[in-house]
Amino acid sequence: MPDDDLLQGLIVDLRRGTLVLAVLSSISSPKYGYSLLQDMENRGIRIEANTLYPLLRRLESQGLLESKWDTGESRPRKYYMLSERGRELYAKLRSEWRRMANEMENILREDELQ
Amino acid sequence: MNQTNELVERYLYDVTRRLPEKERGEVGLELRTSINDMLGDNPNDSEITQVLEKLGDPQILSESYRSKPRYLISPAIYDLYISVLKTVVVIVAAVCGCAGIVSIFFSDAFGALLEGGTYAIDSIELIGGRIGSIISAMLDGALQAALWVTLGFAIADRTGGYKAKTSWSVSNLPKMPAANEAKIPRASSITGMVLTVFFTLLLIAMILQNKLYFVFSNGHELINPFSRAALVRFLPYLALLGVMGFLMNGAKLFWGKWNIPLCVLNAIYNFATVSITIYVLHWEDLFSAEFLAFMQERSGSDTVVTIITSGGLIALFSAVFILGAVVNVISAAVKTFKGMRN
Repeated sequence: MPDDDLLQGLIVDLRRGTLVLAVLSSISSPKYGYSLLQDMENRGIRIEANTLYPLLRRLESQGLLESKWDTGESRPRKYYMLSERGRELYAKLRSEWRRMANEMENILREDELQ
Repeated sequence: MNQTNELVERYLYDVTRRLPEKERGEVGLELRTSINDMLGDNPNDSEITQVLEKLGDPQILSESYRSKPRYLISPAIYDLYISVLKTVVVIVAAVCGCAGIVSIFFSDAFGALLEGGTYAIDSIELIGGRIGSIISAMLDGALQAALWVTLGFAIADRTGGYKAKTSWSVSNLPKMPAANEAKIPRASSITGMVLTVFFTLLLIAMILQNKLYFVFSNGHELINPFSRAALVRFLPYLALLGVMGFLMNGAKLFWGKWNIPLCVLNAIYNFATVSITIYVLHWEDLFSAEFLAFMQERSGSDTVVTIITSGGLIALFSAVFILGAVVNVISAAVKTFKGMRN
């Protein structure tokens, strides 16, 4: 497997781990699929539509998100928002992430210094 | 304004048709709106194509919407499934084959073949056809067996019949494979089962059809050494011996090596078969009258007949059988002991 492909694969793996955190952090106010996608892109989070849409459903089934259908406009839209449980878990996940990033940084710095 | 577009609709259809019914509606609705959002107003064909291709293969997208992975037989029990499948299919196919072969011996074609004559060549063709039908019977049997094993496992998997491993501990480790002396090769057990069935069926059929091929020929007459009455009375014992032999080999297959239960079973089996054999050998009407007369004629004196009927010969055979059984039981016990020692 050429180095480029391998590297891309490893990077995708890295990113996959942070995806849920990124989604949860972008959904502080109710959003629907496409608007959330645009928001995240604007914030520099690289995520594909075919990853985000199924992920939203999964997070909802896990109880992290709640949804509401808005049939007012011409197109019916499903809005997602953080549930109470989601809010709590997001806070915990965020602090866990900071701890991990710190650890990682230390490990990498040690290695670089050697 | 709702945009309906054939390409989009076909894409949505391809994604949702693989999903469970309950989810199809909502996923389709949500996805359609999202796609239309991504397209904006009055998209042209190339824009639509671009967006859809960005979303990617409908099958993959559909897969990512699924909550549970799909499979027929779960990875957890797959190994067990394969080993059971192999064993059962081989046994069923072999048994079907044997039954078919036995039926050849008793077909009209075979009889005609034996008698030779002008019909011999037609008979060969007929037998060729018979062999063809045996092979297809074996295939049928094998396929059926495979189907039922697969169904059984698929159902057990879904109804949770198979206890999911909760946690592993050192006590779950399998014992080391037994010393080679104690091991019983699967092939030999399976062969044993098949041959037992084959020969038992063959002998039963021969007796029932009154066509024994182990005969002496006295000129033009075929003489059966055993009396008809004795043979018929022997039938249930023959069936019993066949069943016991089959089960004994089945037990060997199941355990795969000599252990205490198998050793005990083997002793019981040997005891039972020798007892039956000796009992049958001592039937007064065992030998047919024609045979005795024939022996008398051939030897020109009474001595041979006397030896046969006085029981001296019978006693000799009985002793041989008993010796054989004793050797068998002892050798099994030795193997068991060696296997346990390791």
